[in-house]
Amino acid sequence: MPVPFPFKTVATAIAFSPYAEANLHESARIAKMLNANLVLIHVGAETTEKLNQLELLVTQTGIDKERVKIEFREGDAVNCILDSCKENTVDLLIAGAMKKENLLKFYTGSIARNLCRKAECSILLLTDRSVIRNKCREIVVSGSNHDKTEGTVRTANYFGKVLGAEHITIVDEIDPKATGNQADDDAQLAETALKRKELQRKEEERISSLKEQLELDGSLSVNHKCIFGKAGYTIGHYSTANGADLLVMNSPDSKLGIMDRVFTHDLEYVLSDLPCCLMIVNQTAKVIA
Amino acid sequence: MKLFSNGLKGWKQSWKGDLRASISVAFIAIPLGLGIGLASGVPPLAAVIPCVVGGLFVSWISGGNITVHSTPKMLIGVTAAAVVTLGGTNLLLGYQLFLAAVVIAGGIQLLLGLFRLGVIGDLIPASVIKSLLSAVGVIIIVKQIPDLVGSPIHPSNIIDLIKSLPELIQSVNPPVLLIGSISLAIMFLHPRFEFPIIKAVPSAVWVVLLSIAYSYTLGFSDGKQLTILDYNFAVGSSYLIDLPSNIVDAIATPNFSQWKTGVFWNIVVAVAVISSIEGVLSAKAIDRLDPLKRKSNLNKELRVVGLGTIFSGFIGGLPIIPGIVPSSVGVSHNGKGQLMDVFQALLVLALVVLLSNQLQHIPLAALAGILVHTGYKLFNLKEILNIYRIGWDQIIIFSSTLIITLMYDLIVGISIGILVTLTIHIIKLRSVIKLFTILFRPNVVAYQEYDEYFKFHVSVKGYCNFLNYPRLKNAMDVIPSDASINLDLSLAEFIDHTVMEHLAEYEENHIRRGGNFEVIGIDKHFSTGNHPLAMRFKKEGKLPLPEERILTSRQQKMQALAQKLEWGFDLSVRRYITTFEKFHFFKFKTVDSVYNKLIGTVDTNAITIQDVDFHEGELQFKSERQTTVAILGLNEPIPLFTIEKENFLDRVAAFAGYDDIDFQNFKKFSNTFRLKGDDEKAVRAFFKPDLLQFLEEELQYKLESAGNSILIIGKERPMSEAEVQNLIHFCTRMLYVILR
Repeated sequence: MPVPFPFKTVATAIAFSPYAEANLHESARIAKMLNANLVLIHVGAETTEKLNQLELLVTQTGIDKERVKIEFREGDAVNCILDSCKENTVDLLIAGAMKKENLLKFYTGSIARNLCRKAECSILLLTDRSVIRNKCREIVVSGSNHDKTEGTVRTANYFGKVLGAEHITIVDEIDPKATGNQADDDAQLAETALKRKELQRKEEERISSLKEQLELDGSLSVNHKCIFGKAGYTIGHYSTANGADLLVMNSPDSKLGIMDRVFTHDLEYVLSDLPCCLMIVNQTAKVIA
Repeated sequence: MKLFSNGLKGWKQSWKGDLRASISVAFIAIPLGLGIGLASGVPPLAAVIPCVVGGLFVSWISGGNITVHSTPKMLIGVTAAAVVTLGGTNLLLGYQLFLAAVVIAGGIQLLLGLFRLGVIGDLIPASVIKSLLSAVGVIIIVKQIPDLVGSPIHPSNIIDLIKSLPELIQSVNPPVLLIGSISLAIMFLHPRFEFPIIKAVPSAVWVVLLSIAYSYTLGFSDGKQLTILDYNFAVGSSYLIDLPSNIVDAIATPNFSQWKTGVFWNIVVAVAVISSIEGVLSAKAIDRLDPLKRKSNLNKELRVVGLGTIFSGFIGGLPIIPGIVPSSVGVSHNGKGQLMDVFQALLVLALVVLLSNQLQHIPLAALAGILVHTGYKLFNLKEILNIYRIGWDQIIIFSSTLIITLMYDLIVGISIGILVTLTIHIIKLRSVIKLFTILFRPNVVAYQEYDEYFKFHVSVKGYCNFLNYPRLKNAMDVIPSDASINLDLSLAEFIDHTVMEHLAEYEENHIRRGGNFEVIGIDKHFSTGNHPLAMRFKKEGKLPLPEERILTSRQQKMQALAQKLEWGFDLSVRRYITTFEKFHFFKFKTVDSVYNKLIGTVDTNAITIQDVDFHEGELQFKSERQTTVAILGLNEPIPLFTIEKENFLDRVAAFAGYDDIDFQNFKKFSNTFRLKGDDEKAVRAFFKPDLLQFLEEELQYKLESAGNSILIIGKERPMSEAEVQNLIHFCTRMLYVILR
């Protein structure tokens, strides 16, 4: 099973917006913690003025200048960033995003969200830069029954250790329809409850074996939780309700398009209403590299 | 807990009680059915047929447990209007055409049941339903007043009635009015009589018995002229009920010839929707009557009732619904099973066949009296007076639905009521889009808590109104009925009155069935009215003073708890609190406000328990949280320490010489908890064996000492009242142990 960590190259897009400085500081800090190189991508024409400004910002962060590469690219923002990531074999792309978007933006798609949908590397969406800077305590990771899950959970564990997190909760979303979601009367309720228990036991066994593997490489304190609910939505709501600082999820199986936003499912639920910082783990990138 | 098995075995256990109960049920079903039939403008037996069909055919496969089937009252207005619209002056043709509509409506109900749409009753705002019931009450009363007073003038609606009032008063027939008034008086006064014989016989049966005697005495059937004090009054068989002499004559067949017209389909929809609504309402009410606390299957009930309605329509009967009146009579006479319905059907059939000659003598005015009483009950004056407390929004919804229903019909009334409700929600939400997104997005998560197996946490996010309540209901329905549910609404920005009412009902049902249910997290929401079930929403700004604000059920429970313990309870919201800064837990958090403060003392040491709103981060990165904390204020200084549940990493770290303080004699405590303190010697001195033993057994919180006070904190969410009780218990015991 390929895993995308250790992250060797981290990239972030930099524009001269009010958040640029916070974004750069945060990316530099993460790069330092991961002991990785940092690629700064600016979409726009290269001028000495901009370069000087960027270099000044980089010096302020106190990161080793040798490890920073500044790239200027012109064209469509999303494509430029993705191209640059490919060329530089970036493992982790960091982007800043607002928690909620208005409806128009949701359907046309903001840059950050579109990166999530299309990126071939792992991506970290920062909604709450100050929290990461203070402390990332609670990590929620998706434990759905999928081939990618093992790599995702191990990545979350690795990243959590690097950030100095305290807890990690593996949330397994079970489709309620799998058990016949009916409880019209007492007999049906009893039957559904029994089926749910059985299914939950099976899922818990699977997660437990995952946990055992984690503990072998020295993990954070791991909890797990089986929740019956819609995939994608449930984990987001759980993270909000439990004040998680970082949510880690599998990359989507196919490229997400406009129809996925109209008929919202899985990752799109989280993207439409980010509960906290979001990390999407993409394992294919490593194979390509 | 189930005393009765299903199927044959259950019937064996319950048949004796059911048989006895069914006698009372049958006696009440006949006058009620005859009255409804008359008021609907169809042959009176058409409304008795559903009782028989329901009992003989439907009850075997019913989704209910103590359901007695009868005829929908809410359809009276619809039926009367439909017969006239479809048949014009030919009432028999109108009746047959209407039967065709009944058959198709039954088919629609069957489909609704098959697609598990039994929730249809939940999808209509509570105030609209209340308003519909009141409107039906008014319609019934208006229709019955002429019969009650013996006048030949028949106004079609309330405005007509007021216009024709002078003529109506002139055409009053005193002997008829007398029996009408006696009947009304019996209906209204019967519940107040304590005399056993009077009480044992239902009021409607008294009315029938007395009125038959009255009509025999005055000779109604022969058409006599009476002279009282020089006035002449005619009494005749036109003031008596008209029943066919042979029961077979009561059977009519539907006429489907109008199926291509739009009018016909309007009636089909009206019959299907109204009888589904009334059916679901009464099925839910019947569940609450069940002494054995069983839950009936609404979808199954909708299916079988649809099937029964098809059958009933084919032989000339009105639709079938689970009837709340006969069911409650049955339950109060010790009926415990579905056989009650079968027996009452047989009895009704036998009585109608055998006694049809006697039943012929019931004066219309007597039945009108029963119906006026029913109409008054449906109108429910008490509930209407209550609505203004729930808020101006509900008054608007209620009155607009009532007026439109009385002016047009029930379906228009429902539609306008829903539209008005949605408009009010849009005004409150300040967005149309939000209202439509909630239709398609999940907003509920339900899961078991970590530690306690039978404790479920249900969290609702965003907007919660009558349209997406079924989602919340489905999530709660699959939770075992003896589990404890904490419904957390702190993430919900808007909860409408319908949901609040459903939740109150859900709470009642869940607790009755042996579970525990608490709503948490709405103590700081604003409300539109001075009522516990008023709409709740989040808003920037200051909450009104505690005296001017209605308490949530959680606050009421906490208040009662404070009174019981003789503690203080402070409801006011306080801002800019600095008490928490000394605690490490709040170092990176800013406390916004504290509220719901419980204050008690143990030997001059204070215990305060309060809800705390705090946030981390600033501006757009702000994440707001709520929790409930306890602080023990101590008179004597104690060392600084923190205690938390230990996790895997710490266990490794402790080997490497970190500052986890372990006690050799308390292995379990040392293994489960991480105790840290800057002065190890003082901490060891403070943690005496009895304190350690107490903590080893009872501790499920994080503790932190700040020198002269101890912070006790649970999960990062508000606690339910039951959890607050546990916390109080823990705090008092811990103080006793420390002071000992």
